[in-house]
Amino acid sequence: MQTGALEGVRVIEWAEGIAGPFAGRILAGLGAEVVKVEPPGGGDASRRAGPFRGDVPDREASGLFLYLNAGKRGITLDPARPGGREVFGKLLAGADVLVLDKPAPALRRWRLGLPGLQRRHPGLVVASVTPFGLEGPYAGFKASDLVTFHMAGLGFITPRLPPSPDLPPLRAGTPIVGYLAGLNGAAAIGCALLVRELSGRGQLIDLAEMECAMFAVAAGVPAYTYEPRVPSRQPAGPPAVAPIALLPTADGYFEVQCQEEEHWDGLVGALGEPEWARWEVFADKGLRGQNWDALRPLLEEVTRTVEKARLFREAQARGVPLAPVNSPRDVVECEHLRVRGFFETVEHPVAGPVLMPGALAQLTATPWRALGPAPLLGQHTTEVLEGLGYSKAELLALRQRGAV
Amino acid sequence: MTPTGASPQRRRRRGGLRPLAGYRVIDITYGWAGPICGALLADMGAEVIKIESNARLDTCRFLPPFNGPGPNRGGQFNTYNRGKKSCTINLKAPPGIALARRLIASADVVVENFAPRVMPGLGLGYDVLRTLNPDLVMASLSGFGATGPYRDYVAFGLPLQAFLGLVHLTGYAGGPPVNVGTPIPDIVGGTTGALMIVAALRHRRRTGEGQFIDVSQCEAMGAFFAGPYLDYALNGREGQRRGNRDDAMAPHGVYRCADPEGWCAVAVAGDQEFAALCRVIGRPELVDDARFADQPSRWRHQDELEPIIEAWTRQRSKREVFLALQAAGVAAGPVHHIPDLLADPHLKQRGTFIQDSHPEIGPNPMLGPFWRLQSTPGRVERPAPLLGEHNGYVFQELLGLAPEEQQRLEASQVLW
Repeated sequence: MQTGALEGVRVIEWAEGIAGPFAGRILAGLGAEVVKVEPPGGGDASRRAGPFRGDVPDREASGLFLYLNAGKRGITLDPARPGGREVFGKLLAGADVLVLDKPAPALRRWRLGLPGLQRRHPGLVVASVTPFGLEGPYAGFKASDLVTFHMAGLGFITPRLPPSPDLPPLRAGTPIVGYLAGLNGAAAIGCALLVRELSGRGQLIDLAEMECAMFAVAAGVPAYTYEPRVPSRQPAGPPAVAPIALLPTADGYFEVQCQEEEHWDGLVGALGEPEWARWEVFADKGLRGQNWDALRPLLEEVTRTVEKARLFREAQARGVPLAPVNSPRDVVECEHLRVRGFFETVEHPVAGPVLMPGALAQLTATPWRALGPAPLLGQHTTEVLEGLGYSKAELLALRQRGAV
Repeated sequence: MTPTGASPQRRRRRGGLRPLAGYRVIDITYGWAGPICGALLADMGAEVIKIESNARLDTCRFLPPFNGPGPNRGGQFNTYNRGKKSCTINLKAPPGIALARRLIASADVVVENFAPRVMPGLGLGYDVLRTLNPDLVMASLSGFGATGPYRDYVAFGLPLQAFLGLVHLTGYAGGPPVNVGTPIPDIVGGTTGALMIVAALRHRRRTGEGQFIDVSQCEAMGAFFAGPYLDYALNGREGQRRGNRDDAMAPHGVYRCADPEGWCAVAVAGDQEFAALCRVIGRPELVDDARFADQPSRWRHQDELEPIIEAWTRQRSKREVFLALQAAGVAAGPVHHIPDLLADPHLKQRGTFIQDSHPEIGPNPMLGPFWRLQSTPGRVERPAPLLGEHNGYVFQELLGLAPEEQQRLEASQVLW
């Protein structure tokens, strides 16, 4: 039987929202066993985030929560409380990895400071995922995806080619920074596990969401130091290469990235060889860039008459990097993704069948695991604590103290 | 045809402390996604050898920003190929394929990001390579994946933003769809590749088994849009563009500040934060205003609330706004551009940027390794390689060619 690449890895996830839980989801998909620790009462904040079927809020049926936490076991536990801290310690004693998103000052206040934690659990990989990292003047600052996106420098260059000048910096239409951090967190944890297998020692990983997102703007640094130019939403001049653009069709928009001459030739073919396409002023990618203001309206006049799905087919048949501007419906119903089995239906006891993205990648020897449903709030508390050796009476006492 | 480099096991024992020390990665990539994958592995200690050729140069060697002419001064290339070695093998010449196979036989990992038909067409498909190197881990990064109806489709980062729905969702209220300013699916595809390679190396270490990894950039990045996809699956909704606003939080936007091109982002999650915001901007009475009494009311009256906040932010620099709001417990942050990031005190204290010392360009700052493993930290061992900079090392030391043999192959454009 095939196993996961991270088979046998035991993860405790004490994290909410997107970043930490997305890291946990990836580890679970790769075969790790993940126990999610949620605050007693309301649970993970993403239980309140939705989307909910019919917009009816239900902490057991938030789409975002169901996706991010699929396949984990869930317990309610407040490690900051007496009793809770002890349970947490026992959990960690049997774990390989801790994913956590609490700021360092709060951990110290709860007597869960990281140096002590590492001393008590020298083999544990402790992956801290926070907006700004554990150290530095902004370490305790509050953030949201909007804030980290703009602070990382992504907003200053978004949108690429704004519809009119003087529009403000813009965020991505859906949160991406938390996901970036979760993805990088899972990769960093994988590296720490490799080290641990040789040395037997765990270590602390200090991941900052902002730094992870900055990797996406890193090529802007040489723009500033080589040229020098401050990359912004407004192009400094005509594009170096064209066409790289969003253009209208009869039924929406498409995007094309003609990086090479062969791409342009293919696009011209897909558009039925308009004669202006062979004018001297558009003879190579640089000239098309310099003369983009003249080229764009000519292109649009033709593209407005075609449908995006047809153009996608015709252009791709000619090797052109071109794609339609899809809506979420177009993506969910995409034939290619259906054949690849990307979306999967997860059966959940409260939410029923829920369609969600599945594997992040396809590994032949260690396939991504089909993840079961996300846990109900506290669903596995009894099971997990009994596994740690707590009796029914001790469990009751912990519940009465609000620790679980 | 025996590879002459030390076996991976021997190299590993000699290696340093970094997590991937001792692993050799052959990087046959171009553009962003593939190179990024290799660069992240190099940060973590792998020896990453890029195979390039004048017969088909990495596009990014000739994409701006430039610091001068030639293949070694492209900023995109130098950013996303840091830490690697470069050798020039012409894969369009049959003897080049033989050399590439020998090099791969000496390695642990191959990463490539051609369209899925290209490597098999060159005789470098996984089925062939695994016979030379049975425990090889091979990651193939492509736009749409190695199987399925679109497997031969070409995709770059910007069209993939469109394909996945990100463009549809991004834009000003009532305006057209727009791109996020950087080809984010390439970043995500490359990072996912690195993650999967690390996981596969753990499996290999325990079982001796290598494998083929099929990374579809589309699926790696598609994971990020679970929220909008689920909203369609659950409610048939297609999402809409609403600028910087959120579905629930309000106020939630960027506000103009006094400095030129200065903006500050503010995101208010609850009543407590809103009361703090009102105190800081000198309008404590707003908490008693029925229009702003709770989150749903504030959300409905954003158009009225935003100018009130902006009247205050316009009088101050983005940094003053940021620090004043954070001191009161409100999530806020300046909209940074590159020079802001380079000068930022928090990033300075964290050492986020390191000094790159490229032989043709000289010292310049670069984002350092950000998977911050405290006991075994990443390191950028060398700047992005000059084209063919490590030919001598690769062909003579690793593959055991005599110098004259290398010269002969260079003259016949096999090594070119």
